[in-house]
Amino acid sequence: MTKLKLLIASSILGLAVVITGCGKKPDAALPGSPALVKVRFQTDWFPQPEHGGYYQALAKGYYAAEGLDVEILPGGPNAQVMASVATGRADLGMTNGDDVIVAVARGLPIKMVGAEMQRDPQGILFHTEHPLRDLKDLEGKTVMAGAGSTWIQVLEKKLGVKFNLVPLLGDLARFMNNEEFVQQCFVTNEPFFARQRGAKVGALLIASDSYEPYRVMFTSSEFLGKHSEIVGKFVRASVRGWVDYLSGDPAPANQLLAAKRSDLSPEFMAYSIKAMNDYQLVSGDPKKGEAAGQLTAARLEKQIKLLQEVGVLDKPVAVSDVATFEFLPKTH
Amino acid sequence: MTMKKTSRFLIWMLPVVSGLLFVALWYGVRAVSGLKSWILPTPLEIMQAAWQERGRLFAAVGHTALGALGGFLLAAVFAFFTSMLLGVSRILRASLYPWLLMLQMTPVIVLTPVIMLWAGPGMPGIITITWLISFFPIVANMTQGLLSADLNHVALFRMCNARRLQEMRLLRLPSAMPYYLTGLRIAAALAPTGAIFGEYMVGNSSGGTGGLGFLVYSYNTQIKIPALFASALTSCLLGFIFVAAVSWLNWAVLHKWHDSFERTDH
Repeated sequence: MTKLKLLIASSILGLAVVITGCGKKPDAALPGSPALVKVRFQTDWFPQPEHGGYYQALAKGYYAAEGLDVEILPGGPNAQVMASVATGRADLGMTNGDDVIVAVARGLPIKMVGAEMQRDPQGILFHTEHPLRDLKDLEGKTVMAGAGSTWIQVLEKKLGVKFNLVPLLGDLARFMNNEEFVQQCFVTNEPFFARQRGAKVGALLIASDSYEPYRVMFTSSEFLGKHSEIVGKFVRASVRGWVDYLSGDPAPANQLLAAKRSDLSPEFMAYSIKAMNDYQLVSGDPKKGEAAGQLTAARLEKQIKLLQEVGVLDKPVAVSDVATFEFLPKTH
Repeated sequence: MTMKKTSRFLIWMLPVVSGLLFVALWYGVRAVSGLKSWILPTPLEIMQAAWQERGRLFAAVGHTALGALGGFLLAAVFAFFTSMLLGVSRILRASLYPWLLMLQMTPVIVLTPVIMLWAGPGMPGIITITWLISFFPIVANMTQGLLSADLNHVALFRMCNARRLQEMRLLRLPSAMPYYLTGLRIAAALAPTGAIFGEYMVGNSSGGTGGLGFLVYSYNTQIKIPALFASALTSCLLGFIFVAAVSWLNWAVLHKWHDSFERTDH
């Protein structure tokens, strides 16, 4: 019977090792700065250049200069950024602006506090042999896209464009094999890899005058109520990080990213940064008076109306319920 | 005697021959179809990719092994005690088993958002998913084992007025051991798969590596298909290591007394 006891004992021991092993924080705070306030920021995907501004703010000490010790939590599939922030697992998070509007309508206690990008990087990837100039060119085509994406509803219900939908699997195999195939992508991401494999491709940004979702930073109502000062500091440092990442030397953030993602090449990061600049994703269009970090009540109002029109939003929400404008950078 | 030797030689050679045939067929399909390497890489291209990516694959397999081991050990311990509960009394069995079945029938993929919320992303979620996947084969096998103790022995125990706990400890548990270990062996093959699935569903690559499930994402979006095959090969190896470890445990616990190690008729 000692064998059996040994077996049980060793199982329990092994379990204990695993549990204690998991309890360790992988990214412990830097020593020697006890005065900094700990802030946990949840991103929506594995670390990538689309989070570069935050990493730049971290690497260049913008957060520390505001008295914050920011931990950037990596996301991933099913990251549930909004639930994470609403339940207090993270203090702030970033995601698509539409998602926040819909979540607020469903009762999640969260609020936008600043824009990360003036336009969401979602686009349509196409072969240049069969170019797309406008979303209306999708008429009659077969498109691989995330079922249930808001832009599909907008296209069908608002612009009256009819096309066939194939569920998005996240790979480029079918696209690479068929010159007429088009699929949803991030303009900052897939075009690079398709070109690397020899395809001639272009990417059409989905955001347009009729549909222009922000990417936003948000927090929970509770955190906002208790620590509005921290939120303000975080937004300020993050916007500073973004501007510096895209117009200055991105190396500090890229080094942090490379340490977390050995699979991302420097060429890819350079491409991603160039795409964010080319499409003016973060800075927005200065001619329209847009600027990094800015959110406007008028655009959010328009966005809420649109979401209601296409049936994504089943009940109205007020702009003041989905966003606060007190932390936005001052426009000149 | 010579007859026996040839047959042993044959047993060793057969998988080699079938493997070579398979590889030949593979190259044949590739040559005839003219498919590109990012659709159907050749075994050589896969080995090359494995070599190029060895650093990443090695780090990832360590992460996956940790998740698999955590989930597996949790399952082994929980299943052990759950089976004891189920085996000790008919009333407990009747009240608990249907609910266990219900949990088993629920596809883990449906539970992943909930697991994400409750256990948290990254390693805790991955371990929970692995645990859920590995748990049931062990419980089902071991419960069956506890109920399958030799009736004559049970009668003997009862005749000697053995207490219920004594019966459990001295008779039912030892006789359930082969069943428990069979359950563990099935779970050992499932655990690495479960961990990779977990990484694919709730992983977040914190700490700089996200395991093999994360590499699947990465290689897929970057169209590194030979490397994708290489990560499949790596997970295969991990599975073998897990099963081999439990097979060794099986031998260590059973070979001194259990019939299955003495009989030569199979």
